Amino acid sequence: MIRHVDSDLNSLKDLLLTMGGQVEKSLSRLDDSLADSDMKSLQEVHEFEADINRLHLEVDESCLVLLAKQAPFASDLRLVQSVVKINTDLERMGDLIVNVASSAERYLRFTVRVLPPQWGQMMEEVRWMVSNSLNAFVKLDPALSKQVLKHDDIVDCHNTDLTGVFKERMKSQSIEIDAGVEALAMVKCLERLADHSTNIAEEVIFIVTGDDIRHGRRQSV
Amino acid sequence: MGLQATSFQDRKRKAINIAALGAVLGLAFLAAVPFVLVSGYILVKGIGSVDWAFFTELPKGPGETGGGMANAMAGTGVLVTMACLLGIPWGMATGIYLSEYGHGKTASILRFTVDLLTSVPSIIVGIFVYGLIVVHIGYSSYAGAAALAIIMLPIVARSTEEIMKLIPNSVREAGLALGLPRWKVILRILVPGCMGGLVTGFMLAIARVAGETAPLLFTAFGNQFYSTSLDQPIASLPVQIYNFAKSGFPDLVRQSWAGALVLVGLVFFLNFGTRSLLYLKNRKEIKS
Amino acid sequence: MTSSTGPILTVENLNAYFGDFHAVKGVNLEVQRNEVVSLIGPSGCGKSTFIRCLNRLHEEVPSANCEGRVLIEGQNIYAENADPVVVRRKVGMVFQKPNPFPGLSIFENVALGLKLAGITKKSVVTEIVEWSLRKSALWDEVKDSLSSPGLSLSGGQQQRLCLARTLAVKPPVILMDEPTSALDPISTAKIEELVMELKQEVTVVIVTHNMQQASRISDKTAFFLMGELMEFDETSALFTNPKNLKTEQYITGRFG
Repeated sequence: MIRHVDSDLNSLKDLLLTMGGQVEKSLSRLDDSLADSDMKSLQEVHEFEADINRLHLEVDESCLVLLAKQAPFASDLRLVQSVVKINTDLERMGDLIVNVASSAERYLRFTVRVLPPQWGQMMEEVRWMVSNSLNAFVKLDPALSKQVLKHDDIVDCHNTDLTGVFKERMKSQSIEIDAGVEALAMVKCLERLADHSTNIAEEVIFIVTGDDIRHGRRQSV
Repeated sequence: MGLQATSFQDRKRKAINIAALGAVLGLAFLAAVPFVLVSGYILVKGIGSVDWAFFTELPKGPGETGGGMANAMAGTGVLVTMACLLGIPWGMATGIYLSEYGHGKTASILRFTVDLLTSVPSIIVGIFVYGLIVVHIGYSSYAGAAALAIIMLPIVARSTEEIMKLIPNSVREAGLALGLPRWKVILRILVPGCMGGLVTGFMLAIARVAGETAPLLFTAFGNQFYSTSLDQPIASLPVQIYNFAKSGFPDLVRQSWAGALVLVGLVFFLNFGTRSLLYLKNRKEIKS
Repeated sequence: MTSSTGPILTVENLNAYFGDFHAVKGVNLEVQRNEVVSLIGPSGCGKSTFIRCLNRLHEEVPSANCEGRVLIEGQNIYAENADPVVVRRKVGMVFQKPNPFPGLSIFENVALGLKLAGITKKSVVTEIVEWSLRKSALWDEVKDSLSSPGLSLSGGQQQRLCLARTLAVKPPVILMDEPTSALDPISTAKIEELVMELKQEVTVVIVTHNMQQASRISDKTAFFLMGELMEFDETSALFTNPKNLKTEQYITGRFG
């Protein structure tokens, strides 16, 4: 049976994925700009953020209308509730990317500093997680979600390592304190981006199975 | 194109409509004509003879003038009352059985039998009661009332059944769900709930038997006096009318017209009065 | 004789039939005291038949019969010596269409069950009638017109009158068969409020077609399909994360 609510739910999913796409593009632009130390294209993440914020409001409103009009139950209800939460995650991710860009801009002002190679590896992991948490949402694939969750541990390692690297450089005065602080902020933001991806992955598992595995409640998976 | 009906088909359709409506209206009003004529004729022929003496005096013998039908009116009252006492509970019980318990084959057969009883000619009922009672105890009020009660029985039974069936089943279930046994549901909820309809059914039955002549000829027989005992013959309006009308004495024929008028009036007022009471009762219920 | 701790209502392997038609198939269910339990499911799934077995009303339909055990406060209502009339005083029922007794006043409608159950002392009857009408939130609307016919009330008021009539005999369990399906939203909301308040004192089993209603008022929900009990769970769980695929499909409107 084709249900009217399905077309509403699909539009809602599409809207959220458009938003997710903007987050991905923004992150990709950030990555490319940093690799090329291109200050100009770094500015463009702000445009993405504006778009993400607009979509954030739009998704919220769509959810509210859908809840009011369709009064969904069961998997439909879980989907809408998760969209509300993923929406917040994506909006925060847009902000974090802007934060990385701003810090990077200041960091790069202290003559041209090359970021350590591990930064690139961490960035790659984070981009994989963001992209695949969204893929998991599209396909409603809990297995892929679980892979995303596993990758968070890798990102955490990178986070610890890179934090150590920058601390060491500051101690050895191979970079200025100001530059080091910005670099640490950038690493922290990247790590937070990965955390938001895991949130999305957890929501996907909730949508599909109804199991809430957050905060260590993984035994039911 | 306008919305007026101008084509040939449209005009034909309208013409047929008017003709059909006219026919239905005409025949419907024609149905009232016999009643108007009958009651009008009786009124004209009888009104002159309806006087105080007619209601209070006993009949005089043939050839004499004056006198009345007091004994016949009293007799009809006695016979109808007795028939009601017997026929209404009997008919109601049958109707309640058919409506509330009658689901199986037995009930279908019983229902069919009751219907057949309706179509038995009343004179046959009279002969039956003659054979059953009169040959043993003679012409009497008992025999007359029994004959009338048998005629009432199917009318009361079927009207009771139909009226009770009109009560939604959910009312019965509500009663049962309250923890009432079925018989209490019937007597305390269903019967009071449709009393108005039931009484209308009784009235129809009474109106029917009040005018019966044939069965009384064989059972109550009739006399020219006040009956003092229920096991004696008793006069009744229809029989008195019948006897006087065929007597050939002008004064008795005149009185039989008056009797007919009183009988028609009696039935009419009984009917009208009951309906008015029910109407007032319903209106009070709806208003409050 | 009766325990006040165990389930108030236990259904064991209940089967109900209309002639050859198997309407309820092997249902097992337990209802705890002071719970509101909703029964949902598509039309003809046996949920109404099921509750009509709980007060032995099912057997009043010609050709209908049922088998299995139904324990009310630990006692089997289908035991050899159990009397349906006595059973029904313990298990009240409110029907789909408001059905006040025709020809009876508001007062008489509520008092009749009491009188016929042997409570005849006028002061007691008056007191219980008022209590019942207050409990069903009708007292303020009818206290000046207790002698008016029950049928003169509006549909929503009539349904509350029927609830008062049921409450008057103080049954520990009340069954409701789609009690609001003939009512407007305001009257519906009033009945729902009453159900939620009543559960302080009674246990309610309610059949409803309105899933929102089930999710609003009940503690537990049972989903019936083709005469079978497919799922019985906490309402909060059943409506957010049903275990059974059929339940999921039904409550999300994919069939039914």
